[in-house]
Amino acid sequence: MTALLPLTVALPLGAAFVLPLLPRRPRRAGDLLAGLISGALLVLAGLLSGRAGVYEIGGWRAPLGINLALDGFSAPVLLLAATVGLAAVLFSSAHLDTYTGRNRYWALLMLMTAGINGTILSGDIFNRFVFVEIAVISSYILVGFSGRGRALAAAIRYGLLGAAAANFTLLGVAVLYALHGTVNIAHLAGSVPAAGTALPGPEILFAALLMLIGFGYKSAAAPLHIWQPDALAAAPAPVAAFLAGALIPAAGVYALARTLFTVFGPAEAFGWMLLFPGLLSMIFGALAAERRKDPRVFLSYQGICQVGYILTGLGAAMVLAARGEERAAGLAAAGAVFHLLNYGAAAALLFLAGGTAEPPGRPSRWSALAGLAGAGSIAGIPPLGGFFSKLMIVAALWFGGFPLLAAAAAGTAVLAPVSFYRRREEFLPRPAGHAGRTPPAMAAALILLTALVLGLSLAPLPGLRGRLLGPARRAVLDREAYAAYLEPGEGQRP
Amino acid sequence: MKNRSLIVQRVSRWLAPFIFIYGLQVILYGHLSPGGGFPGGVILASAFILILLSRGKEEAGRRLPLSRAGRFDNTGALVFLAVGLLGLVLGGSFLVNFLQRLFPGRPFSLLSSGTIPINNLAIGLKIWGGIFLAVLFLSVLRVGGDPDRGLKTMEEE
Repeated sequence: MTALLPLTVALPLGAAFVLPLLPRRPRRAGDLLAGLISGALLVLAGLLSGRAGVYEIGGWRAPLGINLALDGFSAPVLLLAATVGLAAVLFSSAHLDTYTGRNRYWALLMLMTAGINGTILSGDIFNRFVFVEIAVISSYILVGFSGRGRALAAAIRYGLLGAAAANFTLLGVAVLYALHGTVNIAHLAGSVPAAGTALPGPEILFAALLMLIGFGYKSAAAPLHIWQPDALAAAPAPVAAFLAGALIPAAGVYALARTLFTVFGPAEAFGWMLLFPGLLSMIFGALAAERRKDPRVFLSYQGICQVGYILTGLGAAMVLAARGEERAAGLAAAGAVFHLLNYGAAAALLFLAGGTAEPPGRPSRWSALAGLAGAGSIAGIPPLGGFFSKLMIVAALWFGGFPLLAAAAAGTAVLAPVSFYRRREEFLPRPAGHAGRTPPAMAAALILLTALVLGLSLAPLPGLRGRLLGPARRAVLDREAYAAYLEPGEGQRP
Repeated sequence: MKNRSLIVQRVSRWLAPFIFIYGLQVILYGHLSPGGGFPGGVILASAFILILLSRGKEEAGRRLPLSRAGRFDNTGALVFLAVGLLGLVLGGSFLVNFLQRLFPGRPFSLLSSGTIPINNLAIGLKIWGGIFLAVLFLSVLRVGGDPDRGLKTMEEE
């Protein structure tokens, strides 16, 4: 089954280069191609979920060749990105009529998809950097795609700062290569010593800080969040959904977690490096959201708050793993990965539901209901997934010996439903009564994401826990298993 | 086009073809000597960038029109991808050198190394078009200028 791995990158990449060559008429040819590719990617991600393995490109073993790696952490993120991607494509096909340059839009969206999938699967840090850049450079242009002043300003700011942040990641890659002579993640996991409770060497600390800044910018963690509210508010609705639901979780948070946990290994210092921006984003995002009028900016700041939860969970997992407290670390890691999935699905759903009200849309009652499911999950209302993931993070903080952090996280979590309830009229699309009608493609996108949000809510059930959260926890924390990837004869192990 | 030195225009006109041929050589011998598709493509593009700098974007756009450079860019990427997928189908893994077994050739001769020269050509084509387009766009986008008008006049020509 791992033979399918390169297709997740090759299919959208191929589509991105075929699309500009398509004739302008029939106008729907580009829509059809993008839809088929995204559908195929969702099927691929479904087939690959729950599996693990390494794919060596061209049959060359590392370090000569490069590889793609699938495990319990990358498989669910790949599924999230594929679902959000298909929803964004479906929604775009009904939303795009207000824009010109349809096939260019599709080409950029496909390029971004290829970059995101490559980021998730890449088995070495240099190729991950390249894939992240493919994804974000396409996203710069897509944010400004409407060509209006506000969108262009947001895109230029996002792009300029993003180019600066990319240099941090690249320098971090260079430092690691200079120190260890390899960029392969499994080889680095085998050769970078885990510092544990001791302070890592200055050169490793420097490299980790560079990576934190580079990927922290892409995950929109405070204080590196300044591009995110503008970009999400000005981008076309499906692009905002794709950004919040796939790019930020994959190219930001996932890449950061993978780098710190697998490449650098557990160390208390790295844990605090994650806890600081995590706590800051969590509290700042929740407070800043209160004061914003624009509903999309409100949702963006709430997104920063959720990224804060994920980073807090990851930071706690790292500190606890470094101290050897396996159980609490496992709970924190599982909670963080679960919240990453919940946040991605719910944020994408909220942006798309809000997008149904944009001209010339006349939203029906059902799109408001779909938006409500997303808001419920982000706000952490009990039967939905967001509640359980926040609960897991708070519980891990409490049992891991961080009572103050647990109180802060719990307090923010209690405030979120209040905040969402007060703003319900603004961010939910107002139904147009009997005249309301959502185009079928938009409705399909909303149904797909609502199903994902509701499906994720089932993941903590005892029978299903071992399918998603157990492997994810092991993949985040078990560095030796990842390093053993490349041992001869054990290529398929983790 | 005004205020351009005659010497610069003349010399660049003589140099450009040699730069172009050197770029082709770097691409074609990429599997045998240092070089390959990427540096060769950049050298090919630099021949046109020299024309752009010395004789203006109108002249460069006439030598390599916008639409053709875009097609080079797309075709190169697609050929590379096709070779990769053929490797998946025929050799069992993405980018496997499936031609090597069929036509081994004499080692260190021009016609050897299977799919590598094809990939070099594809990358060269893509980089040639891509780098030229990037520089062309930079020359069109000026502070205070109207980017749309600049591009439209080029497409009309």
